[in-house]
Amino acid sequence: MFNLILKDILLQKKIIAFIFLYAIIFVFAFQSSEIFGFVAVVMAVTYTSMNTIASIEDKNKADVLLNSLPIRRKKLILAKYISIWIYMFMGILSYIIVTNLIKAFGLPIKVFPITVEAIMAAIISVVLINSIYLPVFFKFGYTKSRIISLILFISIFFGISTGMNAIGFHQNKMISEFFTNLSDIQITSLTIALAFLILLCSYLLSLKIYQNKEF
Amino acid sequence: MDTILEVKNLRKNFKDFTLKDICFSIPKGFIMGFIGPNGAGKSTTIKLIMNLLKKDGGEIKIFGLDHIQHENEIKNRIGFVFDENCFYEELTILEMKKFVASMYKNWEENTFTKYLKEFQLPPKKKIKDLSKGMKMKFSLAIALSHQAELLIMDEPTSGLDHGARHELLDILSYLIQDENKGVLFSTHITSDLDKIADYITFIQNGEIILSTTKDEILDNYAVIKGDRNLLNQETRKYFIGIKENQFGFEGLISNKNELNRVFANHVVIEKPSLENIMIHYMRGKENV
Repeated sequence: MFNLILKDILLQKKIIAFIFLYAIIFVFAFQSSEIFGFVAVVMAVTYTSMNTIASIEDKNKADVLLNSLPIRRKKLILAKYISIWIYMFMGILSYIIVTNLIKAFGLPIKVFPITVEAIMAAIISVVLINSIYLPVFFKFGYTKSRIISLILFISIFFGISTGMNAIGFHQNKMISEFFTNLSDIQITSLTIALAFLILLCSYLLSLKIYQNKEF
Repeated sequence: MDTILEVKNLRKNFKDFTLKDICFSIPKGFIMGFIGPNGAGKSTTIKLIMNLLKKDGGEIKIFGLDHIQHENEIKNRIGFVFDENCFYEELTILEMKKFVASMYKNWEENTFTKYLKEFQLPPKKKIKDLSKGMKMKFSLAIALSHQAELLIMDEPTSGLDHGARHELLDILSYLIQDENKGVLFSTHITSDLDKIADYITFIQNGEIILSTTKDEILDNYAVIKGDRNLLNQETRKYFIGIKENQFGFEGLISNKNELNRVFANHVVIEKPSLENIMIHYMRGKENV
């Protein structure tokens, strides 16, 4: 399992540099929207990583190799779902590094510390995108599902920003009260539980599709 | 005699092609040449054996085990070499090896190092920068380094130059001295098999035309050449395929012993090559 994920990272080692570029661009672009810059970085890093690896595997017809090796199809699918978390972590890390560098050099760019809400918003967006995208990808392959992943990314990107504004600016009393009445631990556990539930459903669907797939 | 691979009534339906209940088996210690024209069903059969395609009927047993129930165990004991490079082009030989090695239970690093040297493969070179022959040798090195007992090769020689082809054939004949191994070697270039194959399975339009030892084929089949006036409704029945021109005919028959009775001494008899056999089957008697 570990080797499957490591292989994905090894295959796209070239784009590690881009991760920092994203962090710089989004931190700069979202100076006025507090934590949204952070969510954008995590989303963009995960989206790019998942897409890059999908395109490389597609180009190399990796399914033939992977399914000729003694690896269970279940494991191949699971590795993809675990790697989502690794890319999220990489996104978070790049945000931390870039914002700390900005602070250390005293650059005139406003940076915001990462809050629990921001991490939760990032997790929910990334999980949502990939939970819809992965089953589509396993069913139709990279070329046909590429557009779906882009639409998903854009709509959830703007969906989340609208949602967060609503909470942030107290335009919607019910939602904001609901969130302010919860403790951080409650928000965290609720979000994580929801994320895992969505991922589990998506995983089971992907598995069913991939088990019957022909190469 | 132990069989290493047994395919029974294997069926697969596509929109425009059907693999029709094919049967063949490879005993331990032998090389099976799997021949047929392009599109005959060779790759489909191999993909079904590897469970890359799902069969619609029939049975596949490898090492006596069902190929789906024991898929993982079986794949640990199979080495595969495919026509198209199936490794990640962006990785180097060493990176790719590291990943593949981690998947196999019985990986032997020393064996791999030995083959790397023997095949003169540059470990730090990216796979996309390797020649076709080197890619094939890399596949082979991987296949040989996890103690595979069954080698499945789908058109391994296509696109290889003469030298690389002979090298591969030499390696295979050396390898098969181990009596516990078996090789399934698909090709449309039958001359690859004239030297090394012990068994031949010939597939055409999704059907097995013949599957037996190469010696039996070469002993019983014959190419005969003679004057056209020897051909009549009665004698034509003996032929699998006939080619005629204004000077005479050349035809393939499957029972050499009947030959003398039918044609007496009026014809020239030649030993057929696998190529002759495949071409005459493909041609049939359409020109008759």
